[in-house]
Formats: sequence, structure tokens, C-alpha cells
Amino acid sequence: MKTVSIKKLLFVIFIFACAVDGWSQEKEKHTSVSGDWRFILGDNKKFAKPEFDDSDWEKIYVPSEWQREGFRHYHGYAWYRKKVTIDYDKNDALYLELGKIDDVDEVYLNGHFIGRTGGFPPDYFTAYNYNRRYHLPKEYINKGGKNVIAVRVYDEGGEGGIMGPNVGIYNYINFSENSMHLFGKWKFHLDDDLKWGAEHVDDSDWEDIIVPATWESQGFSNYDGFAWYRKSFVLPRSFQIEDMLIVLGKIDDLDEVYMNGKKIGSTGSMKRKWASDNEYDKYRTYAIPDELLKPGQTNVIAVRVYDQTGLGGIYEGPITLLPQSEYKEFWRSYRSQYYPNDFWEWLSYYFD
Amino acid sequence: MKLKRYVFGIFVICILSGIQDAVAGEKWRMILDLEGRWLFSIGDNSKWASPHYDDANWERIEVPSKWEDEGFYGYDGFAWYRKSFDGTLLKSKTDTYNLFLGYIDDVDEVYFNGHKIGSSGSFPPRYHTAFNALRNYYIPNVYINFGGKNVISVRVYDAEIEGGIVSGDVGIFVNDDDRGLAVNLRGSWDFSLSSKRYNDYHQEKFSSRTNRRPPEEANWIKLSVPGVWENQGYPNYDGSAWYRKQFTVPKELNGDDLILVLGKIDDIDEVYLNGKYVGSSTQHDKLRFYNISAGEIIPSAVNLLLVYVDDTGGLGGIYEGPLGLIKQSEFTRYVRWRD
Repeated sequence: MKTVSIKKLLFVIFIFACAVDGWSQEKEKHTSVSGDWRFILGDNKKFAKPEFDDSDWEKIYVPSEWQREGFRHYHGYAWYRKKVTIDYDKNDALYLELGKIDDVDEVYLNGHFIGRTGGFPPDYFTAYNYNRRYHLPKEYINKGGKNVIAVRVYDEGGEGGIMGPNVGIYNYINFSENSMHLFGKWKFHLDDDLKWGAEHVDDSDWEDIIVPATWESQGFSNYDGFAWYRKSFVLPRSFQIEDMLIVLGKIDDLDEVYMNGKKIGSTGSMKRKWASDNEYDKYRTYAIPDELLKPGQTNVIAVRVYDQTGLGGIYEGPITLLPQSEYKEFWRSYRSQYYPNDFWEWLSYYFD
Repeated sequence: MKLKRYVFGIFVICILSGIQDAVAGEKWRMILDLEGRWLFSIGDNSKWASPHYDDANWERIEVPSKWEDEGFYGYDGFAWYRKSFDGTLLKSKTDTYNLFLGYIDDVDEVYFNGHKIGSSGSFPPRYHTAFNALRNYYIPNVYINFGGKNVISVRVYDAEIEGGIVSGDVGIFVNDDDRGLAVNLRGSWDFSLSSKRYNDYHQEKFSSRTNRRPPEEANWIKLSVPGVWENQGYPNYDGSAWYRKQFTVPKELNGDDLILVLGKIDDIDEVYLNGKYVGSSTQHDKLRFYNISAGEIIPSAVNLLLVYVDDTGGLGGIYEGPLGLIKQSEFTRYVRWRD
């Protein structure tokens, strides 16, 4: 009996060491967005526009529920706006983290819609308990200059606003030269046809879609079922193609991935068309056979997605090709974003 | 008689426990005390509403008090109260003023300089007492003579036992929550019961919950808003009803986005402005705010506001202010740091 206790004690010490060592460290911010934002009650689409003059709006601290900021009895629509300077390197992949927002939100970068969580009235549904993380497409960033982030929020009751606790612009990870981000514009087609997995398909008349983000947030509201994503990319001539992985973030619900026409992996059973095991929350990483990638040429990735219900699509990054040798470091960094920063919180999480 | 006293006793207990009249939850400040000597006449005559009527030979009566204690023991039926005051005592022309008349036994109808500003209960032949409703009538500023004499006339009907303006604070009050509204929608609204019961509500299709219309044959009566309908002639009603208000807005609101403030509503409300669905809320203790885009309200015309209310049980209706319209650009500051 006594030995068991000592083992337990040693185990706890070991956990503690691990937590202090790596996972308890907060991820470093690329750009801070906390502090005073501009704030207005009510709702108007023009507030999303970067040129809109918000100089006479109230100031409000972010992150904080607005009830603490003088709006004790207000429930309804409100907008937040913040001007930030954003710069990035070639290999950066940035996302905006806003933590929890009570209850529903929609985010614009320089007037471009970059994502939504929850449902606004009249099709209201809350998402107060989701951590908000929106990819910032480089196409929309004013590199090195002023950028306007506008957040439309609807609060149905209780607390309201951008609650955090973590808000900021983060870089997914610093990858080496022998990696490639595939964020941004992809081609997109509803419905299903296995031919669309081939290398040569004319997808020029397909819709544009931003990856990652749910397709509901990009005009395909309430669509459940099959859809295909495709993206062409040119690898540098010097690109090392041995032992490569593709990370595809999270996909709602099931997926099959084709690289240059060859199936390289899948999550869930497309045949059964049944998501039974929280597939939407699983992190996708697939190995790419050595002979598949073509340095110095155009490569094509195609992703077949089946959404059973609710939100759908490739909805969370990173979306990146990287060497197996960098994967461990990447995974640790990724994990530290997901697991509680505080040691005791982490401990209680672990023992739940 | 005993029964009425018994009911009254329960009602006092209710007041003490703070659930009787949610208006008690609002922050009122007295600007002008109107307690004391009023003029009084039994009988009924529509001319007595006029500010020009010569009431020099009327009886004097203490307000508030039962008229039984003021020399009219045993009188049941119609009677009128009149009181004049100096408008220069109301210093701000931008405030919004409310006339408080305490509790009136049983039914009343109130005129300000000859303009009807509200009523509670229902006169015979469709008699309904409202003896347990706190009288609070919004006085539109256009009716007020800020430079001189103003006349308040109150028509009262008492069915039995005690009668008159019997108790409570009597005076002119302002509410700080009303300050800043561009349009105040407190006052007399049209009201009509609807037969639907609550249980239907959430089973209804979304399309019907955004396309509702009051029935053509709806029987509209006047109701004082805010105020629960239980105190205004519908003591045990649970179910749905329509509220209707016609209003105009000042020209300077032309081209502005507005917020419609609709107070607190027990329990569910569905709002339509000029025939268009505006929004809905389902929580009885939540202040209602609805966005109105520029152009949806026409400053030069009469606008029509329709509110469908569904009460699941207990007290029902639009029960607490503020009610009105405010420019969206001024709304954030209006809300901030208010308790």
C-alpha cells in the first residue's frame, strides 16, 4: 500500500516536471490585440468596412465581458473594432485568437469576412463555449501596415462580448524552408464525384473558398453532405520530397485526401457515411509517399469531405506540408495551444 | 366587502414582496408634488375634461383619500377630479414627464389640458376594476404649457365600497432612463387579446413566427404601457395578445439608424414595424433592444408598431420601461454605466 503511494507521488512529480518544462508555457504572441478596442451597441454591416470612422465610438477593454465595462443589462448586438499593424514573413501562417465569445460572432479583416461561430438570429444558436480561432489569409492582410479587425457579436443573455482569456494574433509555428503552407484560396465544389480526386480536373469554374473556415461561414449555409476541395501549388525545385507529411487541421466530419491523383489517407468511413467517433475534432496528419510530390512542378491536392450535420468543411489550421523530422516540435507547439496553460488546471484536466 | 378587503390585503403583501408592479423596479424621481387639495364633483360630463371649464364652484377634496372620508360616504358611480398647476415649475423642456396618481378605485380616464393621456380598467357597460394598478401616465411634451397654467382632469368610476384616488404618490415624475430617448413610447397603446395559448409557440413554424398579423376582427381596447395586463382588466389571463402603437418621429431622425427600446416583456414578444418583422425575444427579465435601419421609420408619416406577446403564466404583458426610440449613434453612451 505504501509503495503505491510513493509511485503515485513520483508520478505527480513527473507530471509537474513535464508541465513546467513545456506545456505550461503560453504561446508567444505574434501581434497583440488586447487592450482598448472601439465599441458600439447595435448592428450595421457598414461597421465591417475598414474606412468606417469609429473615432466617436466608446472605448472598451478586450478581453472582458461587456457587463464589466458598463453594459450591465445589455443583451443584443454590438460591434468591436481595432486597428493593428500586422507584418509577416514568407513562412508565417497567422491566426487571430479571440478566446470565448458570448454568444455568436462574425469576424472581418479589412472588410473581408474571415469566419463566424454560432448562429445569429433568427436562426440563433449559441457558441459561447467555443474557443475562437480564425485564420488570417495573407490575401487580406495589409502587410506591414494598418489593418482593421471588426467583430460583430450577438449576446442572447447572461454575459456578453469577447471574453478571452487569450486574445492575440499568433503564428501557427515557424517552419523550415522545406515546408509549405496551403492556407488561403482553394477551389470548392458541392456534391460528390470520385473523378474529382484525379490530378487533372478542370476546376476553373469551381467556387473560391478560404481554407480553413467552415463552408457555412462562406455562403453555403445549412449544407450537409459531400463536397470537394482542390488546390494546386508549385513546389520549389530544391524541395526535399522524402518523408513528408501533410497536416490538414480539423475537418467536419469525414475526409479522404488525394495527392496528385493518389489517395494518401482518410478519416472515418465515407462508405458508411456515418461520423460516429467525434471525427470533426480529430487532427488530420497524413504521410505522403516519397515518389508522389514533384519538385519544381505543379502539384494538386484534392480533399473529399462528408459533413453529416451542423457546420462542415476544413475548418481549422494549420494546412501545411512539412517534413516528418519537424513534426514532433510542431505537435508540441500545437498541443500547448490546446491544453490548459495553468499547471493545476492541467492537472485536474489530466485526472478527469 | 370582506372579499375585497381580503383581496386588497393580498395585494399589499404582493407589493411588499415586490412582485405586484414591476414599475416599482424603475427609478422615478418626483419633480412636482400634486398631493393635497383638488377640485371634485360627482356625476359625469365630458365637458369637464376641458381646461377651459369653469370649476370654481366645485367641492374641495384631499388627494389621495377615499371620497367616503371626504363627505361622500356611500357614493358609488362617476366622479371627476380636477387640478391645475403652473407649467414653469417643469424646468426642462427636453425631459419626459409622467403623471402618477397612485391607486384609483376602480376605473379612471385621465386628461391633460383636454388631451386624453391614458386610462386604467374599463367603464360600464364592460366594467373591469383596476383598483390594484399603480397609475402612471406619460404626458407628451406637446400637451404641456411650459409657460403657464395646466389642467389635469380625472374621470373616475367606483363600483362599490371605497372610491376615488385613494392612496399612493400623486405628482409629476421623471425617470432617468427616459432621458436621452428621441421618442418616448410610454402611454396609451391599443391592446387586443389573441386566443392562442403558449404551448403552441415553440411548435410553430419559423415562417409563421415572423409573419404574424392581428386578426381583422380584433377588438382593440386602450391599455396603459408599461403595466401588466392583470392590473388592467385581465386578472387571470395567460396566453397571447397584440399591442399596437401608432407614432410619429421628429424630422431630425431622418436618415439615422435607430434602436427601438421596448422595456421588459413577460414572456415572449415578436415585433413588427410598418408591417415588417423586426425581431423576437423570449426572456421575461431582459430589456428589449431592436435595430431599426434608416428608412424603416418614416419621419413625416404615422408609423405602426405591432407587438405580439405570449405569456406562459403569472403576470403578462409589456411590464416595465423604458420604451422609445434612440439614435444608434447615441445608444452606446445611453446604455453605458446605467444600473
